[in-house]
Amino acid sequence: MKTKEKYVQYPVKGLLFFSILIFLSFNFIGCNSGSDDELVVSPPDPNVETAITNYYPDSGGVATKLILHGTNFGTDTSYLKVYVNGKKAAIIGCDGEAVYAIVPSRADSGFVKLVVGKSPDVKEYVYPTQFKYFFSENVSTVCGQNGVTGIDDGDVNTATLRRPWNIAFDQDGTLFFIDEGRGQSSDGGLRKYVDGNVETIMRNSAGVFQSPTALAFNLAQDTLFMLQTIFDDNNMSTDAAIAYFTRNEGFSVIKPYIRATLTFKATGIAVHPTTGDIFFNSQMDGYIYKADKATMGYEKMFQLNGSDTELKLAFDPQGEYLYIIIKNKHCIYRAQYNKSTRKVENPTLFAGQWNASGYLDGIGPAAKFDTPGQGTFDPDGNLYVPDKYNHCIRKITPDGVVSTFAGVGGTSGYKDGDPLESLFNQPECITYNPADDGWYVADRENSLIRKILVE
Amino acid sequence: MKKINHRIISTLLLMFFVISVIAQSQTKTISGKITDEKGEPLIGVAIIVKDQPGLGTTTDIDGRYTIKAGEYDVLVVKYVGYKVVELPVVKGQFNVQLEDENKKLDEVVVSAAGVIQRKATLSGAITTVDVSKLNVPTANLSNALVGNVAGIIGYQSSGEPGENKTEFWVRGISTFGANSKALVLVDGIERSLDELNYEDIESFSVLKDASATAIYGSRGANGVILITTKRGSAGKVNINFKAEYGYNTRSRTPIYTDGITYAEMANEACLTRYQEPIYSDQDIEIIRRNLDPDLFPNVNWQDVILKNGASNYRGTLSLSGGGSTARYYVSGSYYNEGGIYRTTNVNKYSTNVAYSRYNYRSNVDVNVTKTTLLKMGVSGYLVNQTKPGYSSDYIWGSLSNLTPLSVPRMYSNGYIPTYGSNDEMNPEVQLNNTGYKTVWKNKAETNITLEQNLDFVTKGLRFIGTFSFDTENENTINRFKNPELWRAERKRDSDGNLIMTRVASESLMSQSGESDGNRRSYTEAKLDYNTKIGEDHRITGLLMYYQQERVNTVNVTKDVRSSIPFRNIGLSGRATYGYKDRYLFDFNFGYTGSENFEPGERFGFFPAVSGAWVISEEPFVKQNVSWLDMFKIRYSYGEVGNDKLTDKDYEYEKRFPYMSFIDTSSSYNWGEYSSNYMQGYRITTIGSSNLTWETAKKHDIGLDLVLLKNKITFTIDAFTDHRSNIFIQRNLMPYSTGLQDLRPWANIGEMKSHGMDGVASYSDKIGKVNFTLRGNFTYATTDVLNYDEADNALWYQMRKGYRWNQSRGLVALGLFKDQEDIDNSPSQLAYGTYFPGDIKYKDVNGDGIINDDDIVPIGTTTVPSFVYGTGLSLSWKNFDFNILLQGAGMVDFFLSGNSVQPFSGGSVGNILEAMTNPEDRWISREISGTAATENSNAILPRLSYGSSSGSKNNFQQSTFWLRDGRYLRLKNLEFGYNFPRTLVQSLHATNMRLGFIGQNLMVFSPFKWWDPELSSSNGAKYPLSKTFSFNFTINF
Repeated sequence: MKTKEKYVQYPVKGLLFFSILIFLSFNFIGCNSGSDDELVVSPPDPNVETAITNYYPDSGGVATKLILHGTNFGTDTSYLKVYVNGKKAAIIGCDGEAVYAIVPSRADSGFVKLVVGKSPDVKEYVYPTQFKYFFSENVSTVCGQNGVTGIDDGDVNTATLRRPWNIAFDQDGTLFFIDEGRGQSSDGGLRKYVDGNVETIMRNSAGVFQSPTALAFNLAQDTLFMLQTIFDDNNMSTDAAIAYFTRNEGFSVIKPYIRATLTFKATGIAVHPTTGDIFFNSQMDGYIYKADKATMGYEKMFQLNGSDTELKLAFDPQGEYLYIIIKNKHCIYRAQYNKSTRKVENPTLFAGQWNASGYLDGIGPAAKFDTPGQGTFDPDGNLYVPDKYNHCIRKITPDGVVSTFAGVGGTSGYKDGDPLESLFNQPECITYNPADDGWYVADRENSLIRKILVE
Repeated sequence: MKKINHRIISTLLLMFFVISVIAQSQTKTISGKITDEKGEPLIGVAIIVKDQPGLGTTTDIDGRYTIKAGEYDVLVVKYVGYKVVELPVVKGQFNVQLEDENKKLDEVVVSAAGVIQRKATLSGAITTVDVSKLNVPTANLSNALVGNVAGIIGYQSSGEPGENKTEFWVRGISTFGANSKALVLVDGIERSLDELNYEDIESFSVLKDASATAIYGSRGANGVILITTKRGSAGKVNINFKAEYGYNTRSRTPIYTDGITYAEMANEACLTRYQEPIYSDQDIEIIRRNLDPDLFPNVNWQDVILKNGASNYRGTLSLSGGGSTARYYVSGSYYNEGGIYRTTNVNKYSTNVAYSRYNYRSNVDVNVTKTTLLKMGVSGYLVNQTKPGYSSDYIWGSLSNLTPLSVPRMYSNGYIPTYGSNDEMNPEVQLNNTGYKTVWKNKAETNITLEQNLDFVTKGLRFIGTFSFDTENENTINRFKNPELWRAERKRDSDGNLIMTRVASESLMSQSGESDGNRRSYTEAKLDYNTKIGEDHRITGLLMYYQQERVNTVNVTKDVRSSIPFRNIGLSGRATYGYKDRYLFDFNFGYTGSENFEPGERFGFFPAVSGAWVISEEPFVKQNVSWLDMFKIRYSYGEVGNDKLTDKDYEYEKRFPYMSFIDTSSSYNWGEYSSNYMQGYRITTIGSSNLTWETAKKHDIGLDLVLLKNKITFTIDAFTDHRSNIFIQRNLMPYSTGLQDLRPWANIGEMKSHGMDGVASYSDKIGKVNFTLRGNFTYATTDVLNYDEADNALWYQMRKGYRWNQSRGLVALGLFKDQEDIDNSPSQLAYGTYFPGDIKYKDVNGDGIINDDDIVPIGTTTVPSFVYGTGLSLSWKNFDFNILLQGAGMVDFFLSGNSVQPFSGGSVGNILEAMTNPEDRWISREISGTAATENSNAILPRLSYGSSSGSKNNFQQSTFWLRDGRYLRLKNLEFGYNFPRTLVQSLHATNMRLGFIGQNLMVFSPFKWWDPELSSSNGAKYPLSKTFSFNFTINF
């Protein structure tokens, strides 16, 4: 539908060269009509019967480009609707004899239906063959710009992340995350992603908030806990091993929850799913502690094979075990939660081997990890952990069967799509969001938050 | 701003005009009649009163005139083609019969040091050019040289206003050292050729051999172009006004194919390499039906950002005249040229390319005493240029890189699209949304010359002293911005929305500036001697001293070398002896100094000798061969030195190569890490002692012939130029010397160039038609004799023994026919896997494998070795006609790049329309269904996509991609009409002419995809313009 561009000649400039002689000249101005992309659309001819012939392809997954053939469709797409198995498909264009539509997600197999006309004068045409729908699993990018580290807020297309580190979901679907950055001036921060926008709640400062490591909500979801490592008196001037935000204050005011001494490096936190007990650790002495809100103090549970263990903690959905992911020892323990004493005890090896890094799928100790990070559970009790230096996500069933869930073991990079072909770069944390049945990954070195969706 | 400039110029010019027309008092009215030899009245003859500038008249249609003059005044009667007559009023004789000036004046030549010599007595190789043939309707004079001037080789590589200059060399490139460019002298002073106003030029000559250039010493090592500007002559005021309007359109521009052809070929490229096609069946149908303007837009970017053409204007006004004590020539001109980009009107500023220039010149000669002449010249120019934020190479690069399907002009969601950055950026955005640049250049040139006739010492002796001072400045202001740019993935999400990726973030307009400038002063003192002893002995002598200083006034850094003036000094001389104008001998020398060598080694002496035998002056020839007007053979030999290590003025780092320079190096730590360290120093530039002049030994042998009463002229020269001691920075220092990263300079290069150039013309008259047929050619080639390179067992891979800039590559033997052909041929796996239909190479060294050892010299060079021009001028009654065909040969270039090697850049790179014919490429039978399409002689190999198999093999530089760059163009076509004298006189004018000039109207060449003169490997450059220009001239 390209219109011919027109050139109009205007006698425009009278150029005064010298005061004695006036030299009139003509200037050609190429005048661009600028409307060559404008399409004129028309509805189907009401006096002619619309007919359908065929469509293709006959199978495909979500977002397959579908072309429907026939006659007298008109070119105005507002007169047309396409349904795949009853689900409405977006129409991109139509030239009167072909409609171009996009197969919607979770359509499932079924008939393709074309609806022509505007209410009340509507006619339906159903193609005789069924469309075969393939469900797909998919890795996509939620926010951040690949490879761009930054602290800019904004919509998904502009916001930049530093090094996403830990993720927690609110009941209303808000994604809270930590951007790494230790010390008072390293641009670390607590940020949130909601409705397609990234906002910074708070940056590291001279106050309570200086070195975030992990996030967790309490059971009522009215308090957000944030752990800190207190490790260096040059940079740090806080004694809050755990700080908290409350919903009443819009998660915008930070207060100390548990106070500790210098070089108390809290790295993992878990909230019991029924009792709400809070457990956390100190990397410095290797102990797991239970928080005591009343005293702003803590109670020692046990130590795992000595000091200097960087732990990430998670309870299974029933609250039977506390799973202890030992990041710098490449293995996962679990400890029983004693409902009567409300303490955790009897830690045993669950998967991987103590201080043996590698990449191997298998059962329990036969599997290998390389620096596993903050994990999460799905409702079926499967544990998912980001395997940081293997650049992938591992899945561990309650029976200890370890497999690769997403990413390619040992290959870093950035690629969305099929989970086992997708690529991550040092994933740090995975968090399950029951609201959309998706897993969210803090893809640290890509400076992105990624999403794994199983349709 | 423009208006103010106009006004200033207007006012100044008006003042000149008014002053010069103030009438003077008189006493007597005189009338008379002027006739020719046959008694026919002559119309338009100028009658002026001597020494009273501005006072004059012309004869009417009956040859009559009336003028008022004092009783003791003298009338001067002047008419073109007739002898000048002086009539003292006291004699009372006012009717005159003018004598035809039938004997053609001796042709004169401006030779070295500005000395005017008769052409007949020259023994060096000098080309002079009829200045009227250099009339080009574009900004730069250099574009007129190739094809008009024998001895000049060059090419024009851009048509962008302000950048459309021709790079040229006198007799080709004769050294691979840094400095191979000719010296351009305007009125004896080193100045630029490009910004010169064509109308101001009086004479143009090219000094080619050593004898002609010797007195310029090292500066003239690569030939000299001498230009003199017009000066006033005594008589009535001459006013010359010329207005020109031209329309520039593109000459050949690459034509790219449309979206559907592109997509189908891309799919073929994948399928034929057993890969998934890029575009699915649905995609192809969507493209064909144009159902998705976001993802499959089918944009012709050339239509979007290019107009059909743009205008240029030029106006020139000059005034000249004066009396016998003082004379003047004053001129002003304005030139304006627009760009062919189609910009939108969204900006308050223009982002199109544009170039405008104001020139002025004033040459005044004053006779201070009877024997003393003072000449003063003031000239200058002011250039204003605008450009879009991105350079034209990026814009044209993106035109070749962005396919019709890459991105739309605008996404339907309002996001601004781009594919990538720089030469992959949306060209419409580059042009309209990235800000703009303004360039402002100015130059002021002043020179003063004192000529003292020393006849009272000895007859024929003159002293000439010149001082000049030039200053120039260039300022660039960049106002750059960048919108936020996006690219959509080539799929939609499940809701049909675009999936956007941000390619570039927004940057608001910011400003930055650059500037450059220098000043140059030049002093010259000359003693010129010219005498004739008896009738037979003509002796001339010249002794000249000069010194020149150039200082950078801007970009002076902390490096002292950037502020030390660049200085030249020289003493030179010439002595000639002619016996009966029959045997001619010249001796020239230059004794020149250079700052680049050690004290004690700074001066070099370079002599040159030449001789000529004018056979036609021999009595027996003169008496017996009446049709032979002149027959002369010439020979010259000379040495010239060159001291320049670089031709770039700003590269002060390369000065004083004999000195070592010390700078900081890595530091040394001790004790606790990073707490204690000592800054290190080392020699970072090693001085090269004993560095000396690069010397050229030049031979020239020539022949001049004039036949049939000046109807036929013919000149031919053959030359050699042997350069030795060419400066090279050594690349191959052994590690054991400790110098391998310091790369000291040395005099080790050696190169020889040789060639021929010639001119011929034939003028005659048939009936009332006068015509001149003329032609010229220049041929030059080179041979590297020694270069800084290791001996190589593969002798053909050395530079030594081949032309400088010799093209090199593999020798292609066509395409592999089938697998059997591959199995029976040497392995080409060095260039990856390959299939039937891929390029088959020749195993040059016979080792059974094809690899880089098989790269050999192929073709010639990218600068033509042979250029020629041929023209015809006709005049009939009031009409004149002129045509110039210009060509170049012995030139070739490699095609390379995404748009000419299909899909070599994957999704980046258009496909030329000329490549889309299926018959031109090898298509496997699996795709076409028939073996007939497996054409092993096709011009394109089996397609490949991105880095798939075959691509590395096929896109090696080889004879397969080598193209002949020869061309012949209709460079100039000129019509003129002189208005009838009666009409002209009624306007009190002396001449009125209407002219048309067409430039670059047609190009004939075996290579059709773009203009081969651009010397571009992919055509992604601002094309040369085709210009239609009309001009109107009026003289008073």
